Amino acid sequence: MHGKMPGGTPLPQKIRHIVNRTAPCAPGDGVVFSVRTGKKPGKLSVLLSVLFWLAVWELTARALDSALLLVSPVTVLLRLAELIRTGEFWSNVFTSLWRIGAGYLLGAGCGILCGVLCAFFPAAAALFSPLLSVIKATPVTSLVILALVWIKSYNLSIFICFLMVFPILTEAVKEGILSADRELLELAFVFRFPAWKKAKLVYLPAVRPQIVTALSTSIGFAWKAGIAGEVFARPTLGVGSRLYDAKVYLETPDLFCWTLVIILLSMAIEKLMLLLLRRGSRETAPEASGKEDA
Amino acid sequence: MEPIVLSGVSKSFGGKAVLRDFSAVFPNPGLTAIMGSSGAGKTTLIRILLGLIRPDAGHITGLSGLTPSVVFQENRLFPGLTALENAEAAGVKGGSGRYWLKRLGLEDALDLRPQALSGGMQRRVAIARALCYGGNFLVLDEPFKGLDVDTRAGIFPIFREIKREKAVLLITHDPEEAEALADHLVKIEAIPAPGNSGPSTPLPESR
Repeated sequence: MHGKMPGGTPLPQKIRHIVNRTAPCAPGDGVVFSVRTGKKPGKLSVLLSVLFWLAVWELTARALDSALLLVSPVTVLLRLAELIRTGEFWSNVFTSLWRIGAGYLLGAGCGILCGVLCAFFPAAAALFSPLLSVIKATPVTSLVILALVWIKSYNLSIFICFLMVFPILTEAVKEGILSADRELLELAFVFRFPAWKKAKLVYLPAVRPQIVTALSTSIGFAWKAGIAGEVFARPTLGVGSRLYDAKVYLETPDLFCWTLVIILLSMAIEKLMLLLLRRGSRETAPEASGKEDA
Repeated sequence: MEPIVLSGVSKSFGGKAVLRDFSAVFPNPGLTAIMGSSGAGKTTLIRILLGLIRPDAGHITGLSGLTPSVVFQENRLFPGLTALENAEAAGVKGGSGRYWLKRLGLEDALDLRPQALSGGMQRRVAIARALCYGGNFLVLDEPFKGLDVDTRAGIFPIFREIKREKAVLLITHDPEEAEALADHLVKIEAIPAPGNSGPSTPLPESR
């Protein structure tokens, strides 16, 4: 039988020496090389470069001296200040946000559903594969022009956003499910896990990061494609319609102003989405580490 | 109860035979230790018995009506669940997670997630899960791997109790472990690779 380990016997002198020598170790101790990390520029340098490009813009506008070709940033900001005080501005913004949001959510929902189908049924994967490839390969403008034949201008952006988001989510969910841990799947099989438990404990942890990435990357696409859709379809209300009007009536300050609005909203939406997703995944994901071992 | 009987079971992977014409009887109840060198097909054998793979040939009787429970060679714990949640993840027909974790010496680690547990503690959570689940056929693939001698000795009585009620298969490399727990011993010999079946003939010396 096993010999009992000598419990409580003090360590020999030599071993104690080694233990003591290796115990306290401050970060960076004994580092013989360093890896160059992609350091993010500081806030000050970002501010300075923004100011630099604004100055270039202002000086070029002054040099050209033509409000039709290039308006100065000051003019754009003044026009924006005027616009945001009108109710019409907000109606346009909120209508665009509503349409694009609806298309995005619809595309995400259907994409997740289709991804699940494609992961579990090879026939579904085979059926959807050419459709997804065609959607991904077709330029947004072609999709918009084609869709205009069938869809009312008001709903076009919803459809375009749907088409942007749907394939991304479908593939992300399918990949996520197919990457689920084989060992845990075997465990679930032997222990006869019901489907909901298998989904919760095995598939969801595999799919969650894929969905988060897909949702955050596709929101930018959806927004830009949705606006492009509005420019073509020209519904009564919508940021894209106002952009088109500004171009047609040669209102260059408005053209710049609405473009700025699109950029600012795009940045705001992406930031908001990241924030929401981070919070969401923090709440549902397993904690990185549990309570420390007592 | 009816013993588990394997007759003429064979399994190959990619043309390489892992089990060839393997026959054995595993009493039920009772603990059978399965020993053999690495790659001899021990894990393949239990994967067949657990229904994870199908044998290419042969018959197995005595499995119908058995609900298997398993400690895999890997811990296979859910990283998002605590030790207690992991122990009870598969079911609690065999007893509560709190009870088994306590018997396995983990009463202070109930709320810790696997990342916060040592290798040996994780191993015991995997054992607790198999015991909580219950079932009437317990498969243990090197269950004491990574456990120190004292901890092992503390766990052995649990399996001495359990083997009185159900069929237990224990894969082990440790003859002392087998001696301490098993009623029966099955040895699996590795199948020699084709063309390498006998002792190698020395090449004639070049002149």
